[in-house]
Amino acid sequence: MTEEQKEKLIAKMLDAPSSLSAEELEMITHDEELRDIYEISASVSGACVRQPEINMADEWARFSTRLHIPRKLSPMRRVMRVAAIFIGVVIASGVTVKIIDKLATTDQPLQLAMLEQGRTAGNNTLSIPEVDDVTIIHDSVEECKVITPAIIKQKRNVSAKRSIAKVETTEVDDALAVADGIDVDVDEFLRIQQARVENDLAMQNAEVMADELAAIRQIYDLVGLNDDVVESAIIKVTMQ
Amino acid sequence: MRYSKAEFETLYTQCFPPSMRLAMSMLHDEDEARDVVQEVFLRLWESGVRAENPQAFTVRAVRNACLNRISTLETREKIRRRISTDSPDEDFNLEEYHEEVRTAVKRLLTPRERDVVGKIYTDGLSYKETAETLEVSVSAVNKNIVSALKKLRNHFKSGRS
Repeated sequence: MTEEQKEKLIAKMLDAPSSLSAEELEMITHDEELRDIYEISASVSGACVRQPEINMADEWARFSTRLHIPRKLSPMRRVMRVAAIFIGVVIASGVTVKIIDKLATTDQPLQLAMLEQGRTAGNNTLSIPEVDDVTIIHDSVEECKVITPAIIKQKRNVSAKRSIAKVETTEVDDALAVADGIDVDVDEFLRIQQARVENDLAMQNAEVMADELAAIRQIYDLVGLNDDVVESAIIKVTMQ
Repeated sequence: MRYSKAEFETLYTQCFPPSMRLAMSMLHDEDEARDVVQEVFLRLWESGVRAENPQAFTVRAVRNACLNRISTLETREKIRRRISTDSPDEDFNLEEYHEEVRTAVKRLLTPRERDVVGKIYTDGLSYKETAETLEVSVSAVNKNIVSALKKLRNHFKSGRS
């Protein structure tokens, strides 16, 4: 590259860098002298750049709109949150135990046979058979084998209503009690409890969101925007 | 322990100006510099921790944030904004270096060269605008700026070697 070409390229690099072609950019980055001149030009630019006049009151006003008040849970809410998590864990483990119990029962034809026996007798409650009944079932092994597939199918329907616990209903919601007021469906009970926990969590979230909304309003009050503007902005953002 | 809003305002008032000056000297764009500085302060606020030396912390954080931004720019954009294409060393003191450059501009350049450097780098004028302001030809502007840059390059090259 001749000196004249270099001079032209330097002039272009310093005066009209946007018009440099890819080839010219390549030349600048690969020629040592051009590269050195460019780097010193960048240093002078950094050292001599006009610094903006800083008005700290304006700068803080501009910045503080980006600040949000950090979420702070009250001690009561923290306790409620821990309690909700604990209840959730207890319910989850209860459900797990029940599932394991169900899986275990599917491999026991004798119990299924008893279940089938109860169902055919028009009684959905699993009852402890008399010793004589058990003996009879053991005696008729062939019959057990034949009814097993049908029993598994039936069991799925029956299991939802199978009562494995008897709870006095005096302190339990009416909805939990079955018609005779004594037998309680455990599956249904667990579902209702879980729904309650989820509802509690949703209520807590709603409270936190309400606090955040109040905080945003305070910020906008400080900035000087009126409620209508804030309201419409919040609705707009929420709808998005 | 978290800063209160009043404490943070005091910190911001003290630490924003040096941070902004540094960001401007690195990015050469006021809006982008302000954005980077605000991001750094926002992260400090959200972290909920207190910096032992807030000014040193914020200046350091701003420097790193600017370097991250620069690393995402293409060479063309860097050259358009006259941003260095070299990555500085971790312990390179940029502010000190800029001070040395300003001193060298005052000490080594002729008055005419200083005028041209001021018009182009501080006022952001083009060659043509500089020529009109100083009532000289465009080629004289180019000659002065190239001469000035070569003097500075030789000065810093010999100083480093």
